[in-house]
Amino acid sequence: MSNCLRVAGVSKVFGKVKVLDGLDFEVPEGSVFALIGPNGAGKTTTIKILLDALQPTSGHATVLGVDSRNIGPRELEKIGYVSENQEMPGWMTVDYMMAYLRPFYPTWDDSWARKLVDRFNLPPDRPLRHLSRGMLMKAALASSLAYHPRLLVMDEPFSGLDPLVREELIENLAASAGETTILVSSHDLGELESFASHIGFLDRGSLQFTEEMASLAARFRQIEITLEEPAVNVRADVAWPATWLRREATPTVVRFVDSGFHSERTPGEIGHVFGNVRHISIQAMPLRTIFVTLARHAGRAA
Amino acid sequence: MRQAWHIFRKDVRGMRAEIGLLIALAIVLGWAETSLTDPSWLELTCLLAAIYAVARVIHFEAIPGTNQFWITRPYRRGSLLAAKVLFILICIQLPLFFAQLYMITANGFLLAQSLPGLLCSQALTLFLVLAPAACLASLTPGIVSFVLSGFLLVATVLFLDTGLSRVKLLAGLPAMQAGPDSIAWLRYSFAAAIVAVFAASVLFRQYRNRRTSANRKWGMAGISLACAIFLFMPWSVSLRLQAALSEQYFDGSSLRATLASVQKSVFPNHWSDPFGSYSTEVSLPLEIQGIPTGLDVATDALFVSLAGADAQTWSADFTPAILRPGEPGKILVDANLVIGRGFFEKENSRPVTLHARLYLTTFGNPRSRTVPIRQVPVNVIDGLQCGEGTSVGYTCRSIFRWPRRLVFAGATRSDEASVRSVSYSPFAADLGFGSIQRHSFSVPVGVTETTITTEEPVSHFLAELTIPNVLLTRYTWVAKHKCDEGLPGACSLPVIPLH
Repeated sequence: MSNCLRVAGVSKVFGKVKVLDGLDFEVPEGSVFALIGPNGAGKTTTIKILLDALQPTSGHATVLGVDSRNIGPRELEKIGYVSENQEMPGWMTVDYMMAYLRPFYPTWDDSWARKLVDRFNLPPDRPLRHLSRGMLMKAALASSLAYHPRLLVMDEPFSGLDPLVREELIENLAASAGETTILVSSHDLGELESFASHIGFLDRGSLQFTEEMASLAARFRQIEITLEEPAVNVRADVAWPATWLRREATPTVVRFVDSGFHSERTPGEIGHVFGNVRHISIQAMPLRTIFVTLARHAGRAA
Repeated sequence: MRQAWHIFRKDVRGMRAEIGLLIALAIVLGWAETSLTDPSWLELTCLLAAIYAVARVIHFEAIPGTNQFWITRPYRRGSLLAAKVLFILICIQLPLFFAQLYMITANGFLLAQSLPGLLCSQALTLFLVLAPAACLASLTPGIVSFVLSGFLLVATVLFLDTGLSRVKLLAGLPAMQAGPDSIAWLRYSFAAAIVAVFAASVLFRQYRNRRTSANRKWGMAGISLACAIFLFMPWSVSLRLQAALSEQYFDGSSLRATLASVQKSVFPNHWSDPFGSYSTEVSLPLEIQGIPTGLDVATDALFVSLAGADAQTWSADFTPAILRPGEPGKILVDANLVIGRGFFEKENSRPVTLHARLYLTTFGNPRSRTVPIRQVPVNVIDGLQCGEGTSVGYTCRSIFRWPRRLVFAGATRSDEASVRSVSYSPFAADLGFGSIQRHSFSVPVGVTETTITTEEPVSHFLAELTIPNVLLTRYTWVAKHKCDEGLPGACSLPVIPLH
């Protein structure tokens, strides 16, 4: 599978603040890549560098095979961009915006554009400045999907939207996935889980990992161990595996998150650390919990 | 070009209200220039409305920032810039052009004669008002920062224009010295050309690379350069340039100067130093011989230096010179010098040598036309319209600028009055939208017709003059009140009482 986006050693410094530090990742063609991370992690800066709104201090990014600093109209014809921060031309009506954008895109699909406007229940004659936040995001998305972009970049598209609108947006994004490569940054991890195929975790400007969603979901487990005897008997000379995060313990119960779960290896490691245990509970984790675990762990490590 | 047209049509649609307002203002301005005696407030309103419209249309696709709608859309930067230029030309400049055209025709000026002024006025408006406004707008993300930056720039210019003269340290700057109005256009033109070139270059660079921070610095460099030229360009350089631009060569070395026998023929001006330092005023009546007869002459500037017997010298950068008519082939120039105390006290009792560099302009190619004196102005010559004004007597007026001519009006040659303050600027218009300029002449009561004569500058030249054995005390005047006020040393000088 070829890569739609490639980021190699990208750093960005604003004044004396290093916002991105040697970022490396790739977004395969046709994937839905979710860039997650706490506030200030550098997600928006990364996206702006990819779209040439900002210049990297060092390193480079390639978008659709072109250096991001050289992205021109030819590349932008194939890229859609939706952001919570985007300044829309408030005086335009929905219909006029669609009509205005049409000549910019050779692949503009009129019937698809109409369908999108209808599907999103967008009022065609209302100026954008009079639309609610959710409506505005839907209008932005409609205007970005109407030309079947090869790459859709979305920066926090779900923030501040009510659940119904989120669901609508996700449904439409899911429908476009495959035909369109999607890069999305968001805090709304529950939504991302339902359609992201890849995930990258960004923290303080550094990419902690990138992984396929299925692999991430498979390796994170919430584990709860009920001990035969109080924890004072746990062998003090045995170091806990580094993949065990968020460790909590009562005298007889130990809980942790295993970030490197393996159905055969992990029970052995538990036995090695705790000896005989009465019960082991292993539970799959939602993305939100994985994110919180990683974020707290990163914060503690920092 | 197709994309530029598409963006232009969008801008027109988005700015219907602003365009409508501008057209309405242009119509009112056209009417006001024919109906009101002082429509300058309306010209200013029109100017501000035009600048606002420029800023608005540029900010539709603001250049600085990272969140604008357009930067992730397939805009071609060249098309975007072309669309904005198209908008400025069609939606802002064109209404003003028609307003000016209306002013010309409604006021009865001849279109053929006024056309160069109209085109020049439009070009000046485009390059010195609209282009810099577009440049500033391209460097600012929104209207608030545009207005604040604009105020800052205007405040800076006003400070440079007026405030600096109050700073003692800067009082010696060339721009702080009073100079001849006739050649001031050179300094203004250089500064304006730099502003226009940098504005265009910043605009082009901003649309090409969006490096706002670097382009702001480039723009500031342009403004600094323009200010530096305006402030530091010596009058002598302007005068030399003006002489180089002269249509005819005149050999200034053929002129000879002596001091006139009359000690005083005009009452000397009171002179006061705003910074309180004490100097002495000397008025030297220079008699210049060798001027070809029949030519009118204007003294543009006089630079004087005095050399004492002990090689001590004193010089003045620019000296006020009052021209008085003399016999045929001669002119009398009163050189009013304000000499430093040290030099004067040392040299006033012994002869000094005067070296003068006198910049002169000769006028020729007279053209005359006799017209009846009527209430309604009639077209005369060189774009002038003359008529009997309502309260200020016989008035001549000219659109866009006063012609680059000496203008005489009178029933006979002996009673004619003249307008001698003339700018040698070759441009057919001053900066401004309307600007009908007027000058009044006193015409004897009872005459029914008058002859308007114009003479154009034909030669600007320098005469280097030397007069030995000048005894300064013979030409010295000290205001008596300075002595009475107890100014140190003032009473030790010969006092010429005020008669």
